[in-house]
Amino acid sequence: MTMLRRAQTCSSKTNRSKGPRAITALTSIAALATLGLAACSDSGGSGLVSTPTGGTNTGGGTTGGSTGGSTGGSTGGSGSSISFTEGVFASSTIFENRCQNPRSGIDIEGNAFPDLTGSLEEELFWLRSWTNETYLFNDEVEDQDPNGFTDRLAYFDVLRTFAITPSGREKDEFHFTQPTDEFLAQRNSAPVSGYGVQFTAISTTPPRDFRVVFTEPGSPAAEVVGGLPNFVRGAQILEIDGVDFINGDDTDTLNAGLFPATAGEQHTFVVQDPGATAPRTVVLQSADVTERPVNIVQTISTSTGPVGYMLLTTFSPFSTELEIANAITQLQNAGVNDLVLDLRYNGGGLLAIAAQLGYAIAGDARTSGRIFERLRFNDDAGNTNPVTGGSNDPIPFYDTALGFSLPNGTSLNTLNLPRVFVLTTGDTCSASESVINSLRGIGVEVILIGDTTCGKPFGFFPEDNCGVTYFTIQFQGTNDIGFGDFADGFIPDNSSAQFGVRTPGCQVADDFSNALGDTDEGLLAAALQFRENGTCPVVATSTIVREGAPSSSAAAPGSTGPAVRSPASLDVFRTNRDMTLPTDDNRVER
Amino acid sequence: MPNRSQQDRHAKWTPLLGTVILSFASACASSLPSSSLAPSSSPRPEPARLADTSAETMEAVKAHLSDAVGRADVRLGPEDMATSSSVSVLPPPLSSKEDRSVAVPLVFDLELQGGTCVLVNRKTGERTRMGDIDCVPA
Repeated sequence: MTMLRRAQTCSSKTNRSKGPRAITALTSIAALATLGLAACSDSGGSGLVSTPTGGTNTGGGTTGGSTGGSTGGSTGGSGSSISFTEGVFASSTIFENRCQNPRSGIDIEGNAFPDLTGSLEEELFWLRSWTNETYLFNDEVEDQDPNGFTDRLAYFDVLRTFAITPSGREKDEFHFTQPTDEFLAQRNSAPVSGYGVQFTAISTTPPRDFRVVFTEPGSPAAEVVGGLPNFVRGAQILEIDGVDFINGDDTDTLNAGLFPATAGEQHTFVVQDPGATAPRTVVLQSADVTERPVNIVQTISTSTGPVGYMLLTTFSPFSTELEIANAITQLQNAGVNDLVLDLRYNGGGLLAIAAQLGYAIAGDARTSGRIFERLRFNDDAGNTNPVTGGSNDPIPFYDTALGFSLPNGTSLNTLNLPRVFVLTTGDTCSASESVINSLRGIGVEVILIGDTTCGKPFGFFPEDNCGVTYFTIQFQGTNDIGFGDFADGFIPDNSSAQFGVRTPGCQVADDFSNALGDTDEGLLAAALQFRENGTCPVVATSTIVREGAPSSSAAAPGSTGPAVRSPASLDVFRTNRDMTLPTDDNRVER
Repeated sequence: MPNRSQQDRHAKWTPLLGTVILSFASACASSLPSSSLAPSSSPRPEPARLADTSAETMEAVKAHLSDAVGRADVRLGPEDMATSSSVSVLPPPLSSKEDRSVAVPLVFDLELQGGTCVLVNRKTGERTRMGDIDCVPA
């Protein structure tokens, strides 16, 4: 199959002001002629780029319309020298897939690797040009000569802004890489064997402390035995398979029990339930657990009418579309006049489904002609998505299904509410924050109950080049009125936090002593109180003090004992709850 | 139940799409792959559905969709092509690091044109003929 290539130009950037960047895509799928790659002619600078002289495509096979097959117009390969002129950038298309160590064959999704024989130098120059073209803060990147680097990851590390925000956070906290084979393996992984429980790791080293955050409906963890679910929220693990979990040395046994490798394994836990006077023994059998995005949906009777409650833990699986639609229908049929939307553990996922939820809450009249989210790319992009080359169309409040798990075009029901109570913590992130921001953008009153959200208005398109998948901030989401500056999160109005977008509501600590959905549970109770009389409860401290900053190894201060495996490094299924960094999530579902 | 028409949405958010599609079809008709065809050269297309949805047929349809989207492995959405005249092709599943993804399914409409079953990419207008698949009017 003939390889299609995009045209390329050079762009010049002087005094940090870049000229128009051209990703002039030859998008015709019918273009059968291979375009020889010409070196950039002078385009406002003296930058010289490599003159491609023919390389070899090592992609095997032609599966699925991938770009296998040989092509002319490749690069000079190793040994060539690419000149660097500060502020002058060749199109990244000149360097893309020109690899020091090209892969051959097909990936696990069956697509042929597009790699061509190239050089480290070309990989570095690709990173430089690609960053210039797509990085949101490209005018804050110091243009360093790639020739001074001998490692592509080290070079990528400097291709970002190092600015600090007024709140003291790094402006870019989301700059990282992953081997592409791992990236593909993770996104194609089968459901993880486990119990259907999400733990929070307060400490992985002695004295270890793991607590139950929530369980998946229908999972082994949620199975009721002797009148109680196997795992209840807030339960602390004391022992696994006869080994002291808090101080024991046999971490192999502990890890094997926490993270069963296969379905059908049986392990015995001793747990301390919140408020219980004595420990309890539970015997669990692992299973292949399927995530249920809508964990709880119910109606709460109040003196002023029925209130809906929905615990939504993710926007990621395609089943989220169907589950939300069903939940909204259920609440609509119940005639709720308010909604408490529990996003406290929702780290985001698909924006389109978040937009459907926004529509389902706000209704037709409030969303008609309004934007859920517009993607703001770097200043050079204009109305083009610099990653795809397509137009940058805003995301509407979708009023129909898109075909994720409900047939495309299916009309969505709506609660048609002028306000919504949203329960939040620092784990409320990204697409979840978009729901808050976008509803505020169309005048829906969002009442925040809980804690400051994580503060991630940014997104990216993961990009493979030569076996590494790069993640760099490429866009910022803004709402219908153009607001998207919530990098310090949304904060309840009575919060003592200095930074963040102040929002009506109450600062309330997460409550692990009551079940989620229980009207006595701290956040839900506060929402109902605020709804009733506009007041907030007296600030209470959490019954569990979680690590202040996410850490892949939540070690107890001063601990010298062995650590059990960190949940973050184990569960690819759950790490998208907190996108701070790939290894920064302490929670895991098992 | 409030319900906004799909046509309204498309008119609102993709005002240039029609122009782009027409331009594309015109410019590239002569070089379209053999499995594609221009709508103007055949009788007026009509919405269609699959005559049968056996596993064998669905595998063949998936193979055409695979070619159309340029991915070796495609997974279909929930539409029943025995009754529905459209089908969605799911995006790749989200990786563990994509918490703000713009991914959406690609929707293809099924049309019958001159006795031939055709998949039409709703976003781009690209048409893919499925000569080995039997369709009936929807």
